[in-house]
Amino acid sequence: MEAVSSKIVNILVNGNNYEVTVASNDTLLTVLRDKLGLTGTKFGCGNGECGACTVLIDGEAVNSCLVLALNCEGKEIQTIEGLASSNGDLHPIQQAFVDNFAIQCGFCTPGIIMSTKSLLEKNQNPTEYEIREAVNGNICRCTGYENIVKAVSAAAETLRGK
Amino acid sequence: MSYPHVITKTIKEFKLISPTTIEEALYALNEYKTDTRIIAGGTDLVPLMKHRAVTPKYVVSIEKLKELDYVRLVGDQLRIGALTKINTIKNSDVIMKNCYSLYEASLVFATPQIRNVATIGGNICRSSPSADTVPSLLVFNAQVKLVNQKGERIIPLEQFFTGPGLNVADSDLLTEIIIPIEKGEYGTAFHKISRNTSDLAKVNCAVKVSISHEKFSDVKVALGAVSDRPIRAKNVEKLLIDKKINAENIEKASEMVINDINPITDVRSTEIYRKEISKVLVKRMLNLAVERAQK
Repeated sequence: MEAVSSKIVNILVNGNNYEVTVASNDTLLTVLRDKLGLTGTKFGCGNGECGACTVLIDGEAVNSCLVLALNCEGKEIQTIEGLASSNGDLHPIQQAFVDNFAIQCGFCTPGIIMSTKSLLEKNQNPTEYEIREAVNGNICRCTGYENIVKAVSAAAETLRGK
Repeated sequence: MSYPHVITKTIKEFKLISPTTIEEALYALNEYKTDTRIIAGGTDLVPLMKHRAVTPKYVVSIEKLKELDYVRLVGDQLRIGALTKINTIKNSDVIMKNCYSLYEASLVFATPQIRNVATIGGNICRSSPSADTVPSLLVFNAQVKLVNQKGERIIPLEQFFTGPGLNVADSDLLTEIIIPIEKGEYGTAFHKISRNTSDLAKVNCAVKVSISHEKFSDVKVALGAVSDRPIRAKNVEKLLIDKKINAENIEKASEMVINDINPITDVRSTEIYRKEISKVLVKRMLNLAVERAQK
């Protein structure tokens, strides 16, 4: 059992396997943004409070700024970059956010969409309360949340119809 | 202009040790005795390390010890593994049925993202006076199992905390929380006063009452964020045991919480507000727990 300060690890992000050298003090967020160039996930507070850095690890929404990257080996990570299809078509959640004007400055949007994805994978017919609960860990400076709730509800409807 | 709540600092370099069994973890904790921290979910430790409030040389990651992630009813004890996530507690029927106040605490515990990684053992070992899971555990007289290479010991949770952020665990690993479940009818309630649920408590409070012949046969009251550690309000409890259940007795006892607490003024609240709201909170939780016990 070694005490390591850095290590080459394989991490699986959006279905792609990356071999990357990770320091023990790297968070998943810094690895995603600075080493893999996946800058869709945002650095907000760095403190686990704003939710801008939300990604899914094994399907669960987490703050990537609080996760040690070395602990992510062998786990499945999904980020905002993995949502749209390869031909550029937006994911139904992304489309619903556009259609419902749930985006203003857009900084919080990747995090909120990932929280939404986590919710809708478990619950395809959420109540307004459940939607507000699911995005409770994401702070939005602009929208006042009303259109975000509408967008999540619309996305759920689209996904149910599929 | 500075933004004190935005962390731009990186974590100071450290060496990470990732045991895969409890034995390996205990070996590591014994081998690296000084300058070492244990990381489970990391939702408290990582911000502390970013702020450089703690700068350990070694960090032992216990997240691979999957055998510590469980909720089990064993005889008349509810046993919760230290690595059980808050979200697991939120979704556990066994906890909802036997320990409703702990379920209520899990509902208002930080954010969904935090609940998905934060563990109950971590919440206890962080030993914050405002820890949201702790008052509910205190009213059940919960015990914790501490293990090191020499052996294990089980101590009452109440004796675990020694101050803000401080506890009796040395090179011990907290592995299990043991909650005695009584056979008879009882009611519990938990509430947290905070700006919003993702915020830390200004005051939090759990109550457990047992009723027999329209009297309180047992009462336990615990509060957080009103002392240097989570506390039991024993003055309130004493005043109610064997007393008739009525508004007057509850009102009178709730006022007495003032003798159990010693709150401070800080960024989240003031001493005066904490004192006043503690009385109200104890009264409301007593009433709610009584209502639930009578159902």
